[in-house]
Amino acid sequence: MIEITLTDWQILLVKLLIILIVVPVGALVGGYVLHKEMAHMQHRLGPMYAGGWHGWAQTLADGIKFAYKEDIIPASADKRVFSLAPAVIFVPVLLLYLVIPIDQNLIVEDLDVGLFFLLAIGSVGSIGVLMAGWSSANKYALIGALRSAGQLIAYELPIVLSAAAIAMLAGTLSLVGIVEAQDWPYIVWPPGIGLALFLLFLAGAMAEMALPPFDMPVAESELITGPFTEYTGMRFIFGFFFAETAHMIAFAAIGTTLFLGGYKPIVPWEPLEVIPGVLWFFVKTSFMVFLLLWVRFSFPRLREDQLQKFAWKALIPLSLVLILATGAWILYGP
Amino acid sequence: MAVIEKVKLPKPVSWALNWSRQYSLWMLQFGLACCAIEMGAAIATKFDVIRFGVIPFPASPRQADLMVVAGTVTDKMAAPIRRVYDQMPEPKYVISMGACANCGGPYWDSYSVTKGVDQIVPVDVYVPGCPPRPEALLQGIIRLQQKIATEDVSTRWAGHDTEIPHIPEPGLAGGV
Amino acid sequence: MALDVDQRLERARRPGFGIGLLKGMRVLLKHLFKRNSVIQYPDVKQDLSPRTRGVIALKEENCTVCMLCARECPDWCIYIDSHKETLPPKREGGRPRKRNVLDRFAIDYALCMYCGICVEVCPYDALFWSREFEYAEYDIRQLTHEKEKLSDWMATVLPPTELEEGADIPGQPSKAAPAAAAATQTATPTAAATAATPASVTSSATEARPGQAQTAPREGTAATEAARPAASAPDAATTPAPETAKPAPGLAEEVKDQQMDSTAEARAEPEVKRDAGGAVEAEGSQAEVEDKAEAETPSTPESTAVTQTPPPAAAAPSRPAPRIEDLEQPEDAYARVLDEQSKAGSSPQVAEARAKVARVKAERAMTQARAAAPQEVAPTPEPSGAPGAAEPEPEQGPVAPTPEEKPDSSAPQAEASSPGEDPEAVFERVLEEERAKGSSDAVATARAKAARMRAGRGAGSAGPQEQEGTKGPND
Repeated sequence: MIEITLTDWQILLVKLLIILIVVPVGALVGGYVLHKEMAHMQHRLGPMYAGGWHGWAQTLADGIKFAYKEDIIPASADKRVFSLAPAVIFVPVLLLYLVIPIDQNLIVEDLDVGLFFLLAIGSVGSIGVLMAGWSSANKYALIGALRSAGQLIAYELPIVLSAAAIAMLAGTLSLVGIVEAQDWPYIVWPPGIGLALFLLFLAGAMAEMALPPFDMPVAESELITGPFTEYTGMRFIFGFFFAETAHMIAFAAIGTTLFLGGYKPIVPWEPLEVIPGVLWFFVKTSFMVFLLLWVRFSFPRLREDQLQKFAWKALIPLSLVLILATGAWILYGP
Repeated sequence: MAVIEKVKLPKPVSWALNWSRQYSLWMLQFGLACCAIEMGAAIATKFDVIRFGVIPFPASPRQADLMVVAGTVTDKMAAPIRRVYDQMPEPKYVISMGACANCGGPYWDSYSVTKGVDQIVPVDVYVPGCPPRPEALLQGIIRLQQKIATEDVSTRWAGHDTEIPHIPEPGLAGGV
Repeated sequence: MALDVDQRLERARRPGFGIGLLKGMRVLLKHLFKRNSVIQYPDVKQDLSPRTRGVIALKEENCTVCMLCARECPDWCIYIDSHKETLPPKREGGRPRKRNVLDRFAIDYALCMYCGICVEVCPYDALFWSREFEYAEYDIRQLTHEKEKLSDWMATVLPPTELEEGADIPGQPSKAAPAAAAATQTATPTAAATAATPASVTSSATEARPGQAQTAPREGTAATEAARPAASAPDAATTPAPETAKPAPGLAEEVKDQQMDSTAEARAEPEVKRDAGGAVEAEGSQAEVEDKAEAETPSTPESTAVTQTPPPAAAAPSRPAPRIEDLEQPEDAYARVLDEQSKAGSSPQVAEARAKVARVKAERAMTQARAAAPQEVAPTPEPSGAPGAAEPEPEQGPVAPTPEEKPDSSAPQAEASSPGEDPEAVFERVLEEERAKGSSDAVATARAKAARMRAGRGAGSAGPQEQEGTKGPND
């Protein structure tokens, strides 16, 4: 056994490197899965030629091509803000991965306030979207950005409230602590409340990521590509293409952690304990990604006012009721 | 991308760049008439243009690599076409689909029709037909991919005025 | 019914608490695991319809520079240049002749709207549709295909579609009226898929008879029914062929036109006033030409009778049906032609196209042979394999008049149905036969139904006629 001692700085660098490798690769794979799942759900095949075998290199080709496409900044755009916006969108998504526990001890940084960190960082991205929309000097981009901001405010609340209920049940904000506190019938426990919280979280997450049916900010039939209308090449791919997929995977991982028992086996059965937690986490996250995509391809886009109505009149009251119910369960439950 | 223009790229890099452009052709659908229906058929389930890496999603020309002009180009539409083309980032490609877009087609003597979209934007591949079959469009795309594969990246950046590289004679059966 | 829809709508509008959403998701999940329906184009190519308008091919030898196509083209996308050549007289002291020579024939496919008018109007079959559509170009100038390239496309033109069952074989000489047949042969387009009835049908079959008169020629062999009125009989019957041949071309045209909607029967009712033998023909005598030529199976009762016990001469088919084992497999033909072509130095595209055509031809031959195979065993003749041959030899020249009047039984008789057969039995039998021939289910059922219907009709009305029919060839 070789003992490697690393200074704090070195450890930090290694962690950073892992994140910087894992996230883009994850995004590429996620993009490919997105293509293929969508295609097969529509009786199509999806990419078949890029890279030979079933178009496995499709997203790689996309990535390389966008990296050297001509970089256009509109003449009337606010150049500095315009260039900065994709970074402001992408970096928070990267940071989300910092606190997600892949296994009991496999976590970049086990923060005591992990859940709080997640929710806080998760909303920073929308500042980037606002920046992008505003600086593009394009009316569609601006409308898209405002929609995105409005949507974020409306749907952040259900997410926060459902996460808060989970934190109440677990009695901690640390994500490892939350996973450890969860017992077997993960999402259906406490009865009814767990599942409702999960669905609430799902709806909120999809809206926050602007996935269909909540993709009003980038509604192409109304707003071209919303805040990203003017973006080309590198900036587009980081601000939109990668960020979207990475965000989706991150939220899948968060959902796994909060509701599906993270790295724990699916059923508490002795032989299953042998399988490392990373694999369980991977399986559950894949399922969540599949679910998110499945919902995404199933439903048509809502209207902007319907979206707001749905959040304020349905989801938020529901989440408040659920918080109450959770509290009652903790006080009077078994 | 001034660097690429000046430096002679090593072969593997040049190949990788060509390959990525070849299989990542984000396609802006400029459907103007009945050819657009065939274009839709090519995109939809039966022919599935995404197999070739031609992604028909972008709504904004800023993210597109390929514009398919499908249908009758009227004089009034000519200006928007040029404008959208100008908004696309280099390297960009244009496929002219159908007789109308090629050179006016049945409207060859109309007062209001532009006789060929190549009068306003440089066209890379002309797909004949009235309208062309979806497969014909796919074959046009394959030919475009063949062309991209043999392209020299630096000349490509210099713009469309440069001579189109020599490409082997087109065939009856097409194919990759 | 309307109530049902209303109810269903009503139910759909009721709040479902998200069950509908789940249903929608279930549909997608189901499709995720279904086989996809993509035609993977460059690897898998659709078998396009034989009439696909892909590209127009030029058969240069047939072009006479008449300019009809160029003039009819709505897009003016055909360019033709030619010059006149003076040929020396064939014989000493003759007149030098002039001839058009095609210098340039080009179609601008960038402009062409694929209406096909040029193919339609071409009087000499110089233009054909081909199914090829893959000729996108980098340069628009290359979309103007010059005559060399247009001739190259000729290799990809499919052979004309198989004749329908019951159609005449173009160019088969008529025994009864050779002159008339000769006249039609020139008039019959070589490649026309619809077989023109040889003119002899109209001429020698014309029955001079006031009131109702009709003949039933078959297969261009022009079985002449006797002219019946006692008074006029000898004259009419002995009308020589040359005379009757005169109206033939015109009539042939008409017959052909009507045959376009070729059910087994096409009827032409030209007013033919024949002056044969003088004064015999009544004013307004109508010659009704019944073209039952080669109905699906021999159509008239007499032929039925004969073919069920075929005479030795008739049994020998004119075009011997090849045995299936002797035929080349389509794929072999493809490989062989491809090989030959590439050795001969054709471009790969042309080679491939020619090989494809060879394959199609081989497939056709196979199906034909397969269709003909059961015919050899079955007593009933199968017309498509060797039409004409299985027909009874009709009388030529003077025919003895028959006293009986023949009712107009224009509808094609039940195929080879014995008189009085039960329609249901006919149905079963025809179905069996068609299956044995290898027809598709739909076709087989349709033909069997048709046969049943005819049998049903025949049973009601055609009793005496059947009897007469059996006598037909003998009288």
